[in-house]
Amino acid sequence: MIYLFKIASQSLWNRKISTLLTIFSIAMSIMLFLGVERVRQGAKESFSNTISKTDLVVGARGSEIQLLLYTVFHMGNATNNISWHTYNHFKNNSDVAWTIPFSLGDSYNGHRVIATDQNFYLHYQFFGNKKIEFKEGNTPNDIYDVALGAEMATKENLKLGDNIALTHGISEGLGILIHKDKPFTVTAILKETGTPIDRAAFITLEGMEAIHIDWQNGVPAINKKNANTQKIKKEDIKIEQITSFLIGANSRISSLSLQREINNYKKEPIMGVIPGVALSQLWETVSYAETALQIVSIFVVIIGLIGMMVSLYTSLESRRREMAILRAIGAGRIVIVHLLVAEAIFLSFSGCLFGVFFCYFFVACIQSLLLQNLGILISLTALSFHEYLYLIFVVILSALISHIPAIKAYRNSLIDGLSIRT
Amino acid sequence: MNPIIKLKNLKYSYKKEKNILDISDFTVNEGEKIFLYGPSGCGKTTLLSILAGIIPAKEGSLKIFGTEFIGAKNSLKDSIRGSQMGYIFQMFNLIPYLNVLDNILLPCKLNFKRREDMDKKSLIIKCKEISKALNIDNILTKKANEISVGQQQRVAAARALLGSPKLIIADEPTSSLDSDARELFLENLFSQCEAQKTTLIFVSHDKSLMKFFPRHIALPDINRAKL
Repeated sequence: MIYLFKIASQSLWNRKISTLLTIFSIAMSIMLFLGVERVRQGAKESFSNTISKTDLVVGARGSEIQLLLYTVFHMGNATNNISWHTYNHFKNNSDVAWTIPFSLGDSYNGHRVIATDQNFYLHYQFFGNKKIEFKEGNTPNDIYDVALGAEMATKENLKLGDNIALTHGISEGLGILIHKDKPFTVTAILKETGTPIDRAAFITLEGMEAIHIDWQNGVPAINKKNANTQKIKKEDIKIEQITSFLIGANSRISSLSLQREINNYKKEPIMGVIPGVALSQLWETVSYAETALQIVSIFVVIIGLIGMMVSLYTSLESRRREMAILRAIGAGRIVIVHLLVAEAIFLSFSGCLFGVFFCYFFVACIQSLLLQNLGILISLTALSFHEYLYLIFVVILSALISHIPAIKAYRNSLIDGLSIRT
Repeated sequence: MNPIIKLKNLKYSYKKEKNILDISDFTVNEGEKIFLYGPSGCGKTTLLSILAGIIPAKEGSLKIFGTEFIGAKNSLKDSIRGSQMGYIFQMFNLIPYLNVLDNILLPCKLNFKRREDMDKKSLIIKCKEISKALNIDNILTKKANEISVGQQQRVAAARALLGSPKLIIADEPTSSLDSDARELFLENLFSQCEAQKTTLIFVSHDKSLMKFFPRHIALPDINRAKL
């Protein structure tokens, strides 16, 4: 059998171009399959690590996934706000260790602007126990201070001390209503987190109230006499409402009773969501796409193997002489079949090997690109047990389907007998 | 005399057409050198394929080295062919992607019985001996497609001879050689066969070679099937 592998490899080498192309096509399909798996894992990892150590996300009653999306992932919009009074009610609950309020609704060139308070910089955690750190500057404190996420600062080419005017509502580029009268000053730039935080800007709750102070029914007041930027003092601003808030409970167990209390709160329709639960719900809806992608990549691998079979099959016509010689020197059916199976194993094994190599090479190349543009961190981890199993399965499958050309080769040799056709 | 081939009432046809071969009696004894001839299309190659056990005949009796081939398992016939026969084709005898040495060693590598008790070293020594006798010992490392046709045929002879088979079947091995090379090839083949006591069945339509052989058989004479 070992000698057969030697013959098989030399026979394949004799057909270099078609062999290399076949190996390449299998390698590409393997790369795609492993790549999809890598991206999937990276996306899932980054996704579920966007928020950690938070027990509850609280917002207006509605869809749990939607609440999670607008609070944590900065996607979509809130259905309703919650009152400052309600927030304080739960903030002062004895089971609550900390809270982070969020007020949403404005943007800058498509980047979300999120109003929050000092607690965000103290308590928000992601990727296990990582906290927000500053690359430059300090926590925004004044009304018109803004802290920028790392990616946003690079993209918009902003640095400390720059002034920016926020857009009312969420819009790409310039919106209709711009808070030109109340520009913000960049006082901090955050370190990269690998989460949506990188693409957002953070202001104080007071700042959010201040830019909308004289607004009525969602539009600026026509009479602008109160709208003097410099006159507004932080102490004077009364916060009316926020969009949502995060709760860190004293213990995991108390978070359950807290959730019940929030969901049963009579004075306002609000709800509390356990992030882990909502995240996995959300991931499930996304996972349809993931499954579809996986199925496609499996088919690509199968097509790669069929391509291999076709190339072996078409090579047989020009190898009738070779087969007749092998038969004449005593090669039986088993030897002929094994020779072609050995060739298939050789092709698919090399294909897998190169596929793994291509996959790592490709991931290493696009790693930083993906992290920067999509916030997905793909780690160069070793192949999982399942993936090894899968690769072994590919080799076995190739050995199985190569029986089709193998049996054809043997049939040819029976027809030819010892007459040599070239 | 020990019969190597004993053939009785052998009939063969492709599918259900009329018989191509119908031979009542044909025996080859050990050490004989037989010249088998006949016009092309008279069934020479078919007969050789049956003798080698590559295509199966269903009617009659065919004993090779005392083993009945009619109705025998393919694997048995393959193994007998691999271990005790050598076959030389008209042309294109060699596997193009193997070098000359690997081509000569191929039958011994594929059939462990053919190696007899030789280990790798003595196999290569034996191979070099035969190569020297056939004057191809200087091209052993060349690729099969880099050598001349005459050399290719001698390499094929060396391959057929290595492992001391009882029978060598040569199907017009000299038809691609010029007359000088032809006689030289025959001389070499004969001396090697005699040294190993190998029986030789030599097929050709070139009657000028007849004189080198003690026994001649015209296939149309023993074949009752009329084509």
